[in-house]
Amino acid sequence: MSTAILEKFLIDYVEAKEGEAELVDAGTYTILYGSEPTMKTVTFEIEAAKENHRIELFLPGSIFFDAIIKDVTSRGCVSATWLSGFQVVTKIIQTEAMKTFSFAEHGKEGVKKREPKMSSFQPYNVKVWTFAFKVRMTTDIIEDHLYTVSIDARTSKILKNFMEYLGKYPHLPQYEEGMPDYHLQDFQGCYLAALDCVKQKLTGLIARKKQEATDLKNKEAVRMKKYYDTLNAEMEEALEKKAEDREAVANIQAKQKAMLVQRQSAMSDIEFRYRMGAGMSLVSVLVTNYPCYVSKVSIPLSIQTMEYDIIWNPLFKRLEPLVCPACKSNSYALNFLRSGIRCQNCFK
Amino acid sequence: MSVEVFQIAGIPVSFSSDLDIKKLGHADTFETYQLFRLNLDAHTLSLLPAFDTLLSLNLSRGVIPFEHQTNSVKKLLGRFRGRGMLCDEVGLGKTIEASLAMLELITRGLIKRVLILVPPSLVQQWKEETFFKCNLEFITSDEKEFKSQGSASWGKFDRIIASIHTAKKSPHSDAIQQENFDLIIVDEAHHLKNANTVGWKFLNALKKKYIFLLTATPVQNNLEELFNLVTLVYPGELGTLKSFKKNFVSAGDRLTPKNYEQLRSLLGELIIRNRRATSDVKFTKRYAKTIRIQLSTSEKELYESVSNIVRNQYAGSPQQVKMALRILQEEIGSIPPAAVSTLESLRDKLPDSAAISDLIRQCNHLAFSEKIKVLIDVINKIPDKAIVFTKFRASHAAITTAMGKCGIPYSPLHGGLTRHEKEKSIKEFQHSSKVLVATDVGSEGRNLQFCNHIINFDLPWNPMKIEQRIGRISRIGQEKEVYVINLSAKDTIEDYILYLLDAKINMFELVIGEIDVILGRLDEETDFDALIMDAWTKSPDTKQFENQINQLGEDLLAAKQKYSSLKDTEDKIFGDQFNTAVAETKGTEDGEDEYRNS
Repeated sequence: MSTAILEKFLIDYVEAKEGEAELVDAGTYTILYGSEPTMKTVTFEIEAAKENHRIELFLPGSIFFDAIIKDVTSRGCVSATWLSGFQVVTKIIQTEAMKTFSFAEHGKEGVKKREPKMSSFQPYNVKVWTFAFKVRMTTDIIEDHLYTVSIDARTSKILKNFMEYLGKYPHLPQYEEGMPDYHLQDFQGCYLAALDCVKQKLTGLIARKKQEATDLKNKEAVRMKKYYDTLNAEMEEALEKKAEDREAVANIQAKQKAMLVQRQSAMSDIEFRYRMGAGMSLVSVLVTNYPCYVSKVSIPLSIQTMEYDIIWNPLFKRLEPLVCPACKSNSYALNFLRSGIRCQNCFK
Repeated sequence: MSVEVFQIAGIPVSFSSDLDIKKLGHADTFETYQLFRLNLDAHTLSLLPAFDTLLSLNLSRGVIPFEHQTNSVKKLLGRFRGRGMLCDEVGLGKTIEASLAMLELITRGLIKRVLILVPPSLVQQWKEETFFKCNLEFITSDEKEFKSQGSASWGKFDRIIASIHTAKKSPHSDAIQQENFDLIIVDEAHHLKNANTVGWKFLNALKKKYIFLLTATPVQNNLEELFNLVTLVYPGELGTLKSFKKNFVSAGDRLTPKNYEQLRSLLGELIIRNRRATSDVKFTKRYAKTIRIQLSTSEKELYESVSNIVRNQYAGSPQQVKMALRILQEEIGSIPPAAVSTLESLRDKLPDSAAISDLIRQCNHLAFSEKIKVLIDVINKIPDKAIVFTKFRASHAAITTAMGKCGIPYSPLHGGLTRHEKEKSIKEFQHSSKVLVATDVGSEGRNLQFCNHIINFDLPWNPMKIEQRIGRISRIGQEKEVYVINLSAKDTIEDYILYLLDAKINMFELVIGEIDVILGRLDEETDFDALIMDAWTKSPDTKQFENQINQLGEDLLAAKQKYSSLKDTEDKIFGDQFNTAVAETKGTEDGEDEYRNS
């Protein structure tokens, strides 16, 4: 059915209100919801709503639809969720980590592989901030965009396609057991990173729309100018030809006058129509909590012992690489030289 | 609420938020993920994306548009900015394209006030299409509620469908010109091809933000017509008339353009023209058969008596009686009992009430007419399901009674049923009964393409209505060949109409929409049914009526031939350059993190 999106939204709404929706006729539902249960019959069919005035129409622009949109957008603006359902076997991760990471010391005797000492993997809570921004651009048409940007609170870095993972796991209102948070960055930093990301996306988009509007405006202005210039020239020519005929001259002059008014109105209309405006708002924020498994690793070198946290991320189902202190790229292999620490990338 | 402004690409962007950013990092009360998701979905539903995403597709009903149609909508709204001409060849769904584009603008809140101007014969069809396909309710200028408020109605209602013939006349024209309409749609816009006509001047003077002109034949007699139509949409796009003629019209041949490329490039910015040959729409073949029925002597005498009353009384009667006489003539052409109630209403208004009482008695007596016998016979011979169409409820009742007696499983469909009953009846027909007995009113807005046989028990005089009946089954989604069987009693008006439409111009095998173009060429001001009634009442005898019908037949044939030759000319001007069969859409670069409702 073509109104499927609206149907799904209505059912989700009723479920969020701990109510029930029952299909009673094609495109018509009976819904029961609210703490003091309200029962309504709702339809997507204007014909059904017309036949029975007790049936509420649920289409954009209808009173009930707008009321629900208003209700829903005023809630869920600051939300939090705790993901669950991860199947993690620490022994397997441990084996996997031993195979994945490699550490080598470069000394006088050449390159020697160093075996890390790995503690058992322990769960820590990590957070992801998701910010939803709504953007509206106006010229002669209106265009909206809704951007969601997810920021890893440990690193203040953007997590692409994070929203897709949210649908894959069960959501809890909170974890039963207390779990320590893992190195969280300042919230403000995360927020600014998200804002910056949207601004960057908008730069290209706004520039394109601005250019489009300018092109259209110029094109129409040139066309209008040419049109009225030609029309005027034709009238001037007619005036010359009919110079002797006073009545005809008066007639043409009156037309010229009217044309001038028309021209001014047309030109200002074009200017007004393609004026560009843009607005943006932060509409909602979600904090996603999920457990990461961390092992404290120590690598015994000739002079000192290096320590790292190796992290198994169950959401992305992978061990997170370490960051090379020299080139800042991600790596699973670190080399310890007298001059410093290098990854494979540094040698290329 | 915090508000700040920053510059992006030289444009000031105001940034606002109801959320207190400073406190967010330390928030200790949170709402659920479910509410967050709903919040995003609600924002998405109230979002106005670029026109490469059409919101109207989710809100229309039973419309599965073809690619060329969605592309046309995107082009009309995106590239043409809501001002353009939809010039698809007939049968490709210009009405759907315009309706979707309108629904799109309404959904996005870009328009509120809409005026649809159409020829009188299409007023009801537009009302039906917009209601059933777009869930939009329009008022027509023919409706009581509209008429009762006089000229003020033009300012009172936001969505109006009007006959352009009514709208351009005073006092309506003055009232309409006072109004600001957001969108004006003109169907069969070729009627406005002449800039010296009242119609053209009227439309040109209207205040409108967006305008769609719909016509399958933007050029009919000369290129000046095309110029005039374009000027209504984009004044100046083709220059002034003088410069247009100089630059684009061949000397000595007003229909042949010069500077093809330049002209096409200009027209490409405002005209969409899809062609059947290059579209993905496939039509199944249609066959028509007319069964001429010999009425019994008493039926024939009754028909003649009623016809004589109509002929004798029509000329001097008041308008209301005229209308009743016209209906009476149609009813007696259907089946005698159909005429009873109209005869009763006329009994006191016409001179010889005793004669009318006698006619009423005869009509009641002839319930099981020859025509019904033939109908039953035809149905028994059809191996598939069939829809029997009739104009009148009394005929409907007579047909269903006869079917009941003959044990033919049928489902009824008429205007007296509720929506639920209608749906039930159609489902029953789809799954179990053999026949759907439908009135024109009852079948409004219904798609019945799971059936491929239509029987016209009686015939609407207006060919557009005949086409609407055929259109219920001969439409996109029909996979079988379509058969139309017409029943007509010999020497009745319907018999002559069938001669004109079937034998003369082969209407039943034309593409849906073509008949309208042909009739438009025949007479722009008067409807076909009015021409027929006029000929009937002004002919003192059948012989003279036959002569008039023959003349009308020749005119119709000439109009059809002219239409065929015109298509060649239009192909030369437009070619395939204005097709939207190939998508012009582009994805958003920022799609990666752009939230879409799943």
